[in-house]
Amino acid sequence: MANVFVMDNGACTIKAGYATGKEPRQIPNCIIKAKNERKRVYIGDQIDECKDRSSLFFLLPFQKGFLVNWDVEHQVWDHTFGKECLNITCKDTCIVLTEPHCNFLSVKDATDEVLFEDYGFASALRTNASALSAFGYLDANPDERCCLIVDSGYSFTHIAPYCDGRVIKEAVLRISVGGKLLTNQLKEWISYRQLQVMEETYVMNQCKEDVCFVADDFEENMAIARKRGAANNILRHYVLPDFLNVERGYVAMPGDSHDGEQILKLNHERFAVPEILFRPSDVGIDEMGIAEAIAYCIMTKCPEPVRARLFKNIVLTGGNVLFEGFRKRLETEVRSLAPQLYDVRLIQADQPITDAWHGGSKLAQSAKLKDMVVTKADYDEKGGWRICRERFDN
Amino acid sequence: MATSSASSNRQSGRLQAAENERVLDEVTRRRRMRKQLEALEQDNFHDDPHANLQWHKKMPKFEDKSGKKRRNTEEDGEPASKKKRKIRGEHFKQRFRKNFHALLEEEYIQSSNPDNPEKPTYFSAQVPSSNLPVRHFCTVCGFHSNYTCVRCGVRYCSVKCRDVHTETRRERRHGLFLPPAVVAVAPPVESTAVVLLSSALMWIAAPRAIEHRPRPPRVSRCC
Repeated sequence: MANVFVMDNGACTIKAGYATGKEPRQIPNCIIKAKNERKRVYIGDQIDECKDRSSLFFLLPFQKGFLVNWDVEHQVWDHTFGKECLNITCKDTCIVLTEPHCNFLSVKDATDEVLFEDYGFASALRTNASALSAFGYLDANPDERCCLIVDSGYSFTHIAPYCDGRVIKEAVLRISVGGKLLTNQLKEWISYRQLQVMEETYVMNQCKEDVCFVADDFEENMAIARKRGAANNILRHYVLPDFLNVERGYVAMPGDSHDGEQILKLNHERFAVPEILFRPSDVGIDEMGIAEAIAYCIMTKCPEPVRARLFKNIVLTGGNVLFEGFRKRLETEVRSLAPQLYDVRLIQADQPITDAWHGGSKLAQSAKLKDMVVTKADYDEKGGWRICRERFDN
Repeated sequence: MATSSASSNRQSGRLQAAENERVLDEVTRRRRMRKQLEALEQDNFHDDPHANLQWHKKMPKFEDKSGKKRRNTEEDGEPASKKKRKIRGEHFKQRFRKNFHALLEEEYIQSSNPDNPEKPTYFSAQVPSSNLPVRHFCTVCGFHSNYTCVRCGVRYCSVKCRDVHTETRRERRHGLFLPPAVVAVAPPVESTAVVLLSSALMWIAAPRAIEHRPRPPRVSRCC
């Protein structure tokens, strides 16, 4: 088999690398414009070269989690496949690419066309990120046979049950809350209550990752947040970067003094932001939270024989699971919603962001891959989109 | 009827009472909620910083361009990418330049195709409404709220927060707050145009906003 290149094409970052490598490279999947740099734009990980990261303007190829803007995506992929980044020769490579669940047919066709006609890969496989995670998990635990993958990413959260390696398509659920929504909500709250930060997506995203945690008991934490003085151990100050003296924002305790730096005071926002994942109705989104959706998915959409195994093998992947306290809170909630006779066990992936990539890498090294891919010869002879849909989407 | 008022600031008490009583109706409230939710999905809240740049062909380029065409470098920024787009083929632009709403419409039409009624689609994969009770938070301070503003329906928790809310009277556009003076003008009524399929789809596919229960109109107590 030719070299296999695994590429987890996410809305926030691309995790890409040869399957034989240890870790993928994480490249932001966007084109960024800085307000002081008029002569160039930053593509993908070129953003590291940018000194002043305030008021960055993002051009994302993804909209609501689906790839709609091919102009931007081409540029990012050109950069990724090119000499500066991963330097691959497409003709000799087999690519394993990810797409979201329930992807639109025209986007699927467009992806196939781009891979084979524009880049000319030797063969390709188009699958979901959760399928790769499931493969990785079931590979390591073959006795389990079933698992439920919770993939909470930038655009949305998907809950997908897998049984014997195949997804139960009718049971896949999508919650519209993802990292992007959480960052935007944090920006709105701060902008209304303290300081206008609506333009500072990059900085506030870092703030969210540094400072937010998931409360195991929302009401108790709200009560603590109301207190003043030393009794309130939730309040933190966040020092904003000015890109001259302070390169990156950092958390500080309320007592410390800062000369000349802009500070944000974060109190209940610290846990109210990730709370949206568990209760989207807090901000007005009429959907179930993750815990409810897991219970709903298993109990109403999955056939009875697999339910016990699904509850025992809930795998958490995606960037949002990195919030402190996420797993514990989710376990408490799912345990209270699941019927008493089932055991509930949640497993957090070791590296949630790159978990799908690692699953893909394991798939590449297994014998199953060659039955799943479509080669360029097949694509040319058997009429492109027909064979791709048959192989990938049945 | 001549009035004997000397001060020009005195306004009609009747008009002022009517102004204070103006309650936003259900449609406007829902529209605001929907706009708020759509704002949460935005990528950028400010304009493109490179939007008004003029690229002059005669401007000297300081980078060293080698002879052969390298398709992977982007040192020239905008002009190079424009050139590449043209080279790549016009048909790409026509075929693949669909935005999200167009894709949703297509998917809707295909999914209402009676061939495969049971097949899961983008719409069926959406998670249903929650069974847990909705919690309300004060828009000003973020803690639990017990009270609702009569006029616009947002929540507040205490008299202090209510006063802040009345002062700022949140009419937000893209995160900027208009000063109260502008807000006092009645919001323009949207034309009742025919609902197009795409806007109907926005209702289906957008994260569903929770609809507030309609409040009975209050009778004013002014004399």
